[in-house]
Amino acid sequence: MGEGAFSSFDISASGMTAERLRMNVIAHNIANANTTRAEDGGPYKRRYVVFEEALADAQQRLDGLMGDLGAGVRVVEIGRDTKAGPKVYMPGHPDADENGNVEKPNVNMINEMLDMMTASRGYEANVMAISAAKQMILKALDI
Amino acid sequence: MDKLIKPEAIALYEKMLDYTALRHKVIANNIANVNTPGFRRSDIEFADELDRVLRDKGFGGVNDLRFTVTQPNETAFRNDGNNVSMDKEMAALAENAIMYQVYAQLLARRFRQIDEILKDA
Repeated sequence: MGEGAFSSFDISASGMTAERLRMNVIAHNIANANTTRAEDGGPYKRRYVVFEEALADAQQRLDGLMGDLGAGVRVVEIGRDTKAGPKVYMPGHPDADENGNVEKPNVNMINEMLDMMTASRGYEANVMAISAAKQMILKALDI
Repeated sequence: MDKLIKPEAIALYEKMLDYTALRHKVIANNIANVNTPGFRRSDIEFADELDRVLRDKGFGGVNDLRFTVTQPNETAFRNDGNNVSMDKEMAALAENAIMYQVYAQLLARRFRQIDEILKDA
């Protein structure tokens, strides 16, 4: 962990890491939008990430600072959405049931696209925060 | 000599640099948590405190100023209970970075003045 002036880099970097991971999970969902055979044999179930705020530990707190100083974000879980997917009539498909229906993954493309946009905007915002911190530190060198 | 150097002014600039540097961390943390469900944004209470100290003790009290990180009671407009507004945070980020540079510039200028005085002495 960076000290003093540089610790804000860690905060923004944690945001970038989290958003990038979310992007990977979204890409995985989209890539598997038509996978009817996941590792457990059934259709692929969409995955989602759970974010949690990370708090600074006592050592990282500034002297005389009151209240909780955040230390960025962390991913606590990559969960699995167990909701059933839509059934499509496809007789002859190797994964079709006795009525000829195939259960498709529960990936909703519109939701994934929307999540992709928020993840990408979130990533950009963290990049902006880092470049602002860089400007500030470089300015401090002029003193 | 003391009048020219004005150590109180230097202390004030220093405090403002501390404040803006810390506020940057708080804003960066808000931005990092823009997609964290239930997250409440933080900010630093400082302006009122500074006003009070300057009024009561003058520049001398600046060194004792403390920063308090608070979570303002702002309503969340999102379903996940997160009350971070990206527009507000980005505006605060830009403003705060400029303020930091302003105080760094003022401090640098003050030191250059002292330098000039010492050269002439």
